[in-house]
Amino acid sequence: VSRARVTLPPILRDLCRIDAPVVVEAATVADLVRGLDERVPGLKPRLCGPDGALRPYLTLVVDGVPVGRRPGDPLPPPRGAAEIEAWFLAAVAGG
Amino acid sequence: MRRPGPGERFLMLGTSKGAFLATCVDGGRWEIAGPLLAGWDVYHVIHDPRTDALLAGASHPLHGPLVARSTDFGETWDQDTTGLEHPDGGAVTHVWNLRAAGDGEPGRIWVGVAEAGLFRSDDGARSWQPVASLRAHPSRSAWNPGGGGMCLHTILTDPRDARRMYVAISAAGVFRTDDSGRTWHPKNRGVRADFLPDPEPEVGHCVHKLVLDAENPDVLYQQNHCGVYRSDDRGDTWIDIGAGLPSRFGFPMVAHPRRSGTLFTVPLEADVHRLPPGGRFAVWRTRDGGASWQECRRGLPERNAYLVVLRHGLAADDEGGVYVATHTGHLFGSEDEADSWRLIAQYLPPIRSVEAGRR
Repeated sequence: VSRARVTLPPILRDLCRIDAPVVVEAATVADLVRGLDERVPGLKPRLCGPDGALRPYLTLVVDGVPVGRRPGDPLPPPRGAAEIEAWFLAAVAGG
Repeated sequence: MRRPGPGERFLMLGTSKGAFLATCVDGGRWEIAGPLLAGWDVYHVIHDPRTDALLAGASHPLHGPLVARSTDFGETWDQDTTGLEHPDGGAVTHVWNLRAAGDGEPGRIWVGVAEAGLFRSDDGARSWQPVASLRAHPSRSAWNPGGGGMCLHTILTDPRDARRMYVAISAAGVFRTDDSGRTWHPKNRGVRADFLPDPEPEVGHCVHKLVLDAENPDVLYQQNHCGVYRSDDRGDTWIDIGAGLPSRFGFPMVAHPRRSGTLFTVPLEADVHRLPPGGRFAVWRTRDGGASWQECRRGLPERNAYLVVLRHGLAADDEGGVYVATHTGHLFGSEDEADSWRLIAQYLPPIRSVEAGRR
C-alpha cells in the first residue's frame, strides 16, 4: 500500500472545492478511487464508469508514468520518497 | 456576482458552458451572474421553493452526468449523485429534466435522463433510485433516439394527485402513471408520427415538449415533431391544434402558470432546416387552448433572425413574464404575456433551458 498524493483535474477541483492534493492510502486504482470518494463523496462516478474502470480520456499518471485504468491495476511503489504523486489527467479536446 | 435576494424574481439558464442566473433588479433591469458550474454542459436548472436550493442537471464529456445542488445560489455546489445509474447497464449520459415534487412529498425530486429513464430522489437530490418499471415497459424495443439522443426530457406531476405523473420520451412518446410509477401507459392516441411506416403507432412518437394546463390538470399540450396537440382527458386522446401556426414543427412550449388555455410556442420551419419561417423570429400565443394563435414579435428581431429555441427554451412566470432563450445565446423577456419583448442578454453560450423563479 502506498501513500498517494492525488491531484484532480481542474474542473473537478472547482466543482468539489478542493484546493490542495488529496492524500489517500492505496495499492490499486480501485483503492485510490475509493479513498478519494470517501474524502469527497460523489467523486467516484466523475472518475470511473459503472464497471469501475477509469472513464475514457482520463489517465492516471503516477510519478510521471501512466498506470493502468482497470480497478485492479496496481499502483507502483514510491521511488525513494514517502509518497507517490498521482495525477488524473484529462484529455484536452473540444471547443 | 449578483445573485437573487429574498423576494426577487430571477431566471435560471442552462447553457453548454455552464449555468447563468438573471436577476430582475430596479424594476425591470436584469443582472446576469455566471457562469456557474463553468465547463459543464448544463441542460436544466430549477429552484426548489421548498428548500430554496438550486438544482442543476449537467454533464461533461469526460466526467459524466451529474445533478448538482446549491444552497447558496450557485456559490458552491454539492454533487453526490449516488444511484444515478441504470440497473440494466444502459448508460446515463445526460440529465435532461428536473422536477421538484409538491409540498406533500418533502425531499422528493424527479429527474429524467438520456438514455431515456426516470430517477427519484427522496433526500433532496443527494441519492437516486431508478424507476425501473418505465425502462421495463414492453414497448421499449420501439423507442428510438431523436436528434438529442434517446432522452426522457419532460416530467409533469398532477398537482391534485401525486400518484399521477407524465413523462415525455423522444422518440417514444408520452407515458402516464396513475400509481406512483408502478405501471406506465403510452398516451399517444391521435398524435401522428409521419416519419414511421405506421403514422399512428402506440409508441415511437417524437414528442418535443409536454406541458400541463394552468388550472385544469386534465388538460395537456404538446409540441411534437409532427404537430401541436391538446388532450382534454389526461393524455388518453389528443387533438391537433396546429391550425393557424406557420409551421407544425417546433421544440419549446410553455403554459401560462395561472391562465387556463394560454400557452406559447416557437414554430420552426421543418423538416429541412428548422429555422424561423422567413427569418422572422416570433413567439406564438394562444389564449383559447389552441383554437386560435397570435404571432407575438413586437420587439423581437424581424429580419434575418435565424434563432433556434430548444425544447426547454421558453419560460413564464406568475406576473405575466414570458422569456425566450436561444441557441445563439440571446435571452428575450416580455412583461405583458408576449405582447412586446425586449432583449435581456446576448452573447451568452448556447442556451439549452430557461426557468423562471422567485425567492
